[in-house]
Amino acid sequence: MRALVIDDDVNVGEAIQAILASQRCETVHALRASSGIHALEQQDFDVVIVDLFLPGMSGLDTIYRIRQHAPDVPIIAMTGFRYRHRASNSTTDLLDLAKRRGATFHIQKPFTPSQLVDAISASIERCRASGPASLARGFQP
Amino acid sequence: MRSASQSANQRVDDARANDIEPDLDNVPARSRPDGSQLTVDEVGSAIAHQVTEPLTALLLYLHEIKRMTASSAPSAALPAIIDSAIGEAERACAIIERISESFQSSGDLELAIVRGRQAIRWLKRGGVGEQVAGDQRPAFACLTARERQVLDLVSSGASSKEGALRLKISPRTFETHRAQVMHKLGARNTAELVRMVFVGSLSA
Repeated sequence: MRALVIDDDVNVGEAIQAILASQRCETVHALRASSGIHALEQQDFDVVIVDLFLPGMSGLDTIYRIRQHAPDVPIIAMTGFRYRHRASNSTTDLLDLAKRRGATFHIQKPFTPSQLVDAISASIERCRASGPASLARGFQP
Repeated sequence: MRSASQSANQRVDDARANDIEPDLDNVPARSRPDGSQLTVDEVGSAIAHQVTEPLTALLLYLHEIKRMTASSAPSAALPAIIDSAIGEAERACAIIERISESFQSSGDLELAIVRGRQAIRWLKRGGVGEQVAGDQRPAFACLTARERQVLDLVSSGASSKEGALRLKISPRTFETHRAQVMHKLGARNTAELVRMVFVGSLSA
């Protein structure tokens, strides 16, 4: 099992790496969208976890680019940015927008290890159900 | 825990040229968005966003500590201490959630995202720090504590109504304090006052 984490916060990336290591999941952490996309071009990943607020290219554009390059990979959008919109209700709109750009699943920061593992399982399951993707080589949360 | 994870994992952090938008941290200061262009709500959302990052890492580490220590028993008090730490982290998360959801965005969602990203970048560059440093400049010495509070709010983009609400005074009193600050610092209007704070012309 291999995960690509794209998050400009070094500590969050390391924490996710530590959690996924205990689940026997190898993690590559990219601090920028461009280096994440470059890693995706060079290596295979079972899941990509993208923060929506990145320096340079935004997370939404990143998801769109990843989806163009890897149509079948499960993408989890995450964000700690939240706000209350006048017309609608909440941050779920932002995460729904990420899904419209190609994300498979979304998770709100902060999250617990079990929420992260559940999100990975659900995103892999969702991709497996919706396409012929040969994903998820034995991830057992 | 960190060293164990690092041995099996990698980090790739080279900046490449195919980013869609320029990295605003590396462009001249004059063309960056500054604090005076951001509303109190946007700055507040950015603050909440920044606090959420360490909280995310903290929660993950605390749960991992709990998992790692579940099988052994180095100290009878340890589980209770760890549960307390998780409880405190979750309490902090709940506070941040309450604060951030009290901020309202203006405009449509796409615009709110762009403005949010600007606010986060401004804050990361030390937006709050610039104002704290400004307080120590000689020209601020002539301001009363209340006038400094008013100046902070004005320079962070607060309207008279918003500022008055924060300080629990009437908008008219807020405007009186603002007029007094402008008189003392020699600013002709609010825009000039805000610019004086951000470009540092109050150092004389």
